[in-house]
Amino acid sequence: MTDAEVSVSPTSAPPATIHEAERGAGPSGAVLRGSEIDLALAIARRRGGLDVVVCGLDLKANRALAASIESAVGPYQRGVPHTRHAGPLALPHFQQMTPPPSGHTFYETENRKARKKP
Amino acid sequence: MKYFTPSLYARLQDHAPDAMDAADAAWEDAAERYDNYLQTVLPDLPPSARQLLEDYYLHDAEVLSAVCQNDTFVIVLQLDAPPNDLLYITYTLTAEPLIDRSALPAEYCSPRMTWQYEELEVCGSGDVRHYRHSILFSNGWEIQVPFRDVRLAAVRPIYPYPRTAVCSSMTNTPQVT
Repeated sequence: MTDAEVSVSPTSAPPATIHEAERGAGPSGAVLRGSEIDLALAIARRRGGLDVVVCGLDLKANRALAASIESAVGPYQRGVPHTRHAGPLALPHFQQMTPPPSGHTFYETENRKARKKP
Repeated sequence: MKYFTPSLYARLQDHAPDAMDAADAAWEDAAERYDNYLQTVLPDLPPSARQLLEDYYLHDAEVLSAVCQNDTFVIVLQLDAPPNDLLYITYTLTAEPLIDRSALPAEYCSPRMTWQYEELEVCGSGDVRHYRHSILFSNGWEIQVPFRDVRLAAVRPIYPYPRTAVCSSMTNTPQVT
């Protein structure tokens, strides 16, 4: 691979990253972002019923990566919580159509972000 | 459902990128219209209905039971957000709830019944004023509950186990084998 092939346009967003995730307690809907993990670990975590979150600036890339994680677990559905239903900090997500496993693959949008776990 | 309609929910499940963009835009539009409506009726809602809107995260809550007897409808939820409390919602009815068991296309229905989206409305005026809670569930049901009052009780369960106690620790990531 040449340097030209790996160079990144100055205007392109950094690649999406996958993180362990937890739900914040209570009605805020917050998603807490933990350590960065790779795709295989994200799928394993989802198969175990745990949450993950895809973070980044590019909604379409985040959404596509989140869908690829959840699809590796089984048939899935998409939820786009409205703040009235899921809290002001809620993130859209994919989840299994027929749990188990429970849990979610969340993804960030332009204006909805995961919170860093304290 | 007038805003978060079953057909709009079905559009969210088309996972082609362009379709997701279009569905998201339609969803945001519905959310904005519903918010505008709610702002006009919030002062007319009973305090407990406002509390239901403002203090609880109901999306993805699991329905453990739903019971209708005389003028009372009770729905018991296990909330999805930690600490996975149980929430008892007890409506005092003005009429029988309407249940549409095939609101969603079969391919988008889950065997598990979880709370997806809801709308609160103020109906009538004066002596006949009442409220309507329309709820769309993941099993494809839509329930419309006409009520004059609603009571809420949240309790921390011993069983079903709080899901957070079972699996939700970031140190508990399964190992890849």
